[in-house]
Amino acid sequence: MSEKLNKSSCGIPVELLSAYIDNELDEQEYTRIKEHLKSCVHCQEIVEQFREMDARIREMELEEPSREFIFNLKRNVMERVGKKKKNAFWRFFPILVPAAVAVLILVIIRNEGTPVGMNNRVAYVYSEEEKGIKEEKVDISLPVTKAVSRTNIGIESRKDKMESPPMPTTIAKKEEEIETQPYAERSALSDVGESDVIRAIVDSTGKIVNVAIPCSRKRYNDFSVIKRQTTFPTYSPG
Amino acid sequence: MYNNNESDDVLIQSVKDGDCEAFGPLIERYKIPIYRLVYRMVRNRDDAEDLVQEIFIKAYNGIKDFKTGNRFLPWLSRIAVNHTLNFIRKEKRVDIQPLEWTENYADCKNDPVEMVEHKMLKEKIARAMARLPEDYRVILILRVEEELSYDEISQSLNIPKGTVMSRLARARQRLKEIFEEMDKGAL
Repeated sequence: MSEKLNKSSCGIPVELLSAYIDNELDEQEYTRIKEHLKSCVHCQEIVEQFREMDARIREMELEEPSREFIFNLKRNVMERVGKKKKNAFWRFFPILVPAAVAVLILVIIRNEGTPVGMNNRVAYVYSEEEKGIKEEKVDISLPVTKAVSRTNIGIESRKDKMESPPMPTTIAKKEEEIETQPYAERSALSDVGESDVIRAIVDSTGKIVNVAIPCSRKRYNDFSVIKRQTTFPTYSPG
Repeated sequence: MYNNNESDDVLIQSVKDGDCEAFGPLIERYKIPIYRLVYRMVRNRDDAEDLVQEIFIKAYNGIKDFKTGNRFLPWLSRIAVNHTLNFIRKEKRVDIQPLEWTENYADCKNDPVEMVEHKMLKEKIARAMARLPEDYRVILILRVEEELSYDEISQSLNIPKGTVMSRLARARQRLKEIFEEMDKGAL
């Protein structure tokens, strides 16, 4: 790069001759060189050689790009650029994942003992002691799982998960009273045992649509026995 | 969606604002000039195509440094030249591929002798160019083949205009010497 530039025998710098053929001299300089070339054979020769070399360089073969390149370049570049954008997201992934897990754990802990979608709701089950039916109120503190994703909400009150007050599950009637009940009611009542579970199915408006006693294969459809508390909450998702 | 009627400035501003789709028309617009520039430097189609893809990705990533109001092609050419020079320095080679016999030399009128002479001359030019130092070869390509002005070359190579003028003169002088040596059979 530090090669010494030759001067023509007349003292004109070669770079001026080079710039002359490139038309990059100012008007005054251009006119001066043009006039000089009329009388200097040596400078004319240099200019002619440079022009000839330029012409040869322009003749150099140029291999056209492939069709694949022409058609796919944009897509390939955009894909790579898009991937880098995605990578930018994944760069934060190590932070986002623990954060998301922490939030999830907090949500789970917060909702522990509370039915999903039925926070702090109260369900009522009814038991009968020896002297007639007695209403008792219990907090439903079990998560409602599968039922929530459907239109119905299942409420399961299990005695072993209840803390306070203890959940009454026994529905017992005297034999003679049972005899006077309708068949379905009688079947339900007679099948419920000390540790049985009562399952109430409510729809999205909070209306009880079915009651089941899982220990029995029989379904109990007489809702009048299960007295519904008027303030029973309506279902509100999530 | 952007079309080819959008000006470079509008597209570039959109890319700067985060719309990567606006970069598509810029690729379509400049892929061939950049390919030709890179091909002339490396003389190998596969290398040139790979390099052009990398150059556009590099340009996308650095587009925030592009000063609005300047012309995009010299800026892009500068990235292309630097990237290709790095490649050549790393690979330490410039391919001179033999020309295909199937080429159509219209000016030779299918005369086999002229065709051979024409082919040999082209290969001689390619060999002479390959013997030039990288900086001389690049500046000759930019000026003679790409027909960039001294100002544009100055921007592309990030060198003063005076340096462009003197480097071009040296490059031409060196190329002339190489031709003379080749004619004497020294090379």
